[in-house]
Amino acid sequence: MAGSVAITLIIFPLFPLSSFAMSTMIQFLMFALYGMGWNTIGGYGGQVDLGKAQYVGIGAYTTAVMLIRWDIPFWVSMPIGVCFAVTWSFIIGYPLFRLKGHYFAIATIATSLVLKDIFEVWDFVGAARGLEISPIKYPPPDFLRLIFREDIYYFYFILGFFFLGILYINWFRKSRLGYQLRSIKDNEDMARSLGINVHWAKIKTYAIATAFVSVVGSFHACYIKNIEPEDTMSLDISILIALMAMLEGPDLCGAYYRRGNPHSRQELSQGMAGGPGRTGGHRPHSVCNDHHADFRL
Amino acid sequence: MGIIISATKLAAAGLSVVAFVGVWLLMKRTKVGKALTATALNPQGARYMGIPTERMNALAWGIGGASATIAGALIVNFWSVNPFVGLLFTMIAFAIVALGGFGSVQGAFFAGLVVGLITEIPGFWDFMAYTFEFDWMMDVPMTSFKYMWVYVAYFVIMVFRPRGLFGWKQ
Repeated sequence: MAGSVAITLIIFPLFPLSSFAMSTMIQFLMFALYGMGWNTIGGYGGQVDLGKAQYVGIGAYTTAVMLIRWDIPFWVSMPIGVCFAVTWSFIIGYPLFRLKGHYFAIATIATSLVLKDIFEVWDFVGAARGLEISPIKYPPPDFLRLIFREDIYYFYFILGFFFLGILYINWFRKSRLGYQLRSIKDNEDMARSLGINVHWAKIKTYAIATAFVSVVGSFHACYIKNIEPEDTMSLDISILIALMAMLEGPDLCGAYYRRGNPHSRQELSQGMAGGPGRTGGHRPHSVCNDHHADFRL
Repeated sequence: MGIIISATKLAAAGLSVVAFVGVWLLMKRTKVGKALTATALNPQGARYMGIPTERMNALAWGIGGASATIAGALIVNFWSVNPFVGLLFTMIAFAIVALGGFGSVQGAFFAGLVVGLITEIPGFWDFMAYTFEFDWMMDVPMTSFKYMWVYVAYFVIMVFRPRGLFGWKQ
């Protein structure tokens, strides 16, 4: 089953398809990775985190700023972005994981919004205007900086990340930390009485989830090429990530079935409205703006 | 010199105080309020005592919506509104409730005043900067951080005093 899905994904570009289907597939895989990251802390650990967008933002901004200002390629800036994001996750995770349940969820929203407000006035990262990676400056295909004209390259890169992610999660859920997390989810007091360092286990898992999200954030910067705080760090993205992981429950098997549904619907609505499609140079970079209706029902 | 307050703002303040007193009376002086409090504190125990907890949850939801609607109707007189304006107020409401303590009506009242001050204090930054012509103060766009301080206050309160100022002991 899993093998056939993998083969279908690999030969997916061979099918006759529109550029719209391709970009939908890329978004699908990106959100699958976001969801995998969220799943470690939110699914296995049971800590509902609604602040993942800040790590998307950190990853995306690290890559974009380094590329634009110092011409540092993606493969260098992506790990640096992960380091930044993980450091930040430790800084806020340490006090945050003293909280439980709704208190934790709302506090993550608060940190995310604080970071977004800072990025909106910080001139170094382009303030509210955001940053634009000019594709003309780097002649595509540029494998170091991950700048391509055709979506198929992006598709295979994100597919590679996707398979790596699945392999890692598959290992993670059977690892020591994975079992510790599930026991924490079932009964935290019991887990503590069994000698599990609950606080530290949560912080470590939070860092893992952060790394996932940050990597995809860096990819997002190269793929969309136009990032701004409102698009990459808004609460809508956090909710979208959490919602998609919640829809299929804390199980790896569900991780790639229902994913992408809300997103493709959004792209579809954009396409129907004559919005920026794939064909022009501009991608639908407002990932979330059409989504308000979905959340506020 | 003098303080100029528009009548709509004054009326909004007065009417919201009235609404506050109404909710406070409902929660503290009626049987329904007691039942609501009991449901919040211990749903299972409340059900054993014959309180229809499902209905109480629905009622609490309704009261919450009604209070927010009153606030919305009052604020629309001096605030630009659009369909997406809700998120800001959601976060501010969370911050206020966290500061005042979950489940405390008078706490929400005082915390509302505190949060109102927090959002207005950055205005003094610009006032100081332009009155005394401090260049370094003008460089920092403190009014852009207006709501950030609310979130920061929320975060700090949640981490160091999760019950808030007037909240119940967990």
